[in-house]
Amino acid sequence: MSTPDERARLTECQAELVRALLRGGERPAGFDADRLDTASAALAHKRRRAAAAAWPALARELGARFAELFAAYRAAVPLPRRGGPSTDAYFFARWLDERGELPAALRPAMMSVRLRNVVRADGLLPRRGPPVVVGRSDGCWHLALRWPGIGEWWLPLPWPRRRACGTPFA
Amino acid sequence: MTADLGVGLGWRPELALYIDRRPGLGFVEIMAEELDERGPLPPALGRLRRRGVPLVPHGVSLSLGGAEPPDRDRIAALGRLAQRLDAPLVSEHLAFVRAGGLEAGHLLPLPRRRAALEIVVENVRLARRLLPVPLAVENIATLFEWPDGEMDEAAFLSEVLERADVLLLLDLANVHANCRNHGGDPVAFLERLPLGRLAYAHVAGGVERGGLYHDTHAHPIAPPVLRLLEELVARAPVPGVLLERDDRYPTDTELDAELAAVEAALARGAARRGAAHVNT
Repeated sequence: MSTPDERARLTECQAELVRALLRGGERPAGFDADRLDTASAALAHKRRRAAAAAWPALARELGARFAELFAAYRAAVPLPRRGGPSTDAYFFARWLDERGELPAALRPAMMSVRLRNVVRADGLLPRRGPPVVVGRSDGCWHLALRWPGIGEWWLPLPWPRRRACGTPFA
Repeated sequence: MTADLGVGLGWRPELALYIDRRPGLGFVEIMAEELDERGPLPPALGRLRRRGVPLVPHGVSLSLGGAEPPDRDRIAALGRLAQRLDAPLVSEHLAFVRAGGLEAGHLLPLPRRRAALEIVVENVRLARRLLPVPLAVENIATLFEWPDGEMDEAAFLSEVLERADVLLLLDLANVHANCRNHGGDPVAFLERLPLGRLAYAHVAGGVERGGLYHDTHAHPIAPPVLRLLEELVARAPVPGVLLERDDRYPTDTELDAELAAVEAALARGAARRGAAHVNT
């Protein structure tokens, strides 16, 4: 049987190691420093590559700036607890949006993700049932409705439109 | 030991068509966290089930080596997926993936000390108890090790398997990687494991970079890994072998050649062990 003390000690050792690998924390004593640096670089590379693979359009739209922006995001935002690389890519896009760096072409996809998932602090949860989402896309506000198995509808707001406004995925 | 699985391939959306079209595939491994176990599943998986190809959910997020007991909700989700796919077993890793509120995004090694071993055994027992199908636990590849280990990897892994009473998923590429990066004889390592618990083996490709072997799953299988497969089969029945490919997806012809190389290594090993135990 393990004791609570042993679990607490292991918790602290593992947390110290993870902070060193992911957050530039002080390296725990006794580890091979070069190997930890190699592992740390491999983890950063894996996270960036996985996010790019999960949302290729995001990487393509950002082009040469993708690596630099993702590095800043990675330093600021830890990996989400749930949802894997696609959630990480969505959180990256939201982080870009908050800084005014999100390419406009990606807004419809952001809304589509919200039509299919509940966005929580720890990740994305698949939605059950028909959701309605309001968001800005293509320079206009839209109301989007999705009925699983049947389809989704996007209405530009306010309705009826006073000026021409594109409907994404039309 | 579990039922014969044969030669399999890890299911990825990029490989779905190849897997759909390839006759005689023994089994397929599914990345458990990639699926919504309560929602619709990819139709390609339904077709595999109808073909009678066994599907094995493979988890990466239970953190069986974590200081905290594994999350019961995650175990339940893995179990539900196994039941929906009618899986003969599920597999996970002897590793931790989160600590101090941070997700590592990768499988990290454990300190091989007595106190940690007790915790890991309890965690694995809990997962085994809550899962509706047998659990196989996999050895990982590591670029670094914890200091002050009290036992080597073969001893640590064997004791976890025996005391938690679970099956072994033996990743031969990881055995090669660890022996290459930390020293040790891979065949001697195999010989010290409880091979009667072997559920199946993994093979995969990697690359040498900066004097270290990186287990990338993005390159062809290294010849030493195929030789290790032959050595394993020469020593014990191997119910299944699965090729993992996660990136830089090859052409169908290259995949055919990779799987043929696996089958050839199995045949060489089986011939050495004697016709009475042939198990390919």
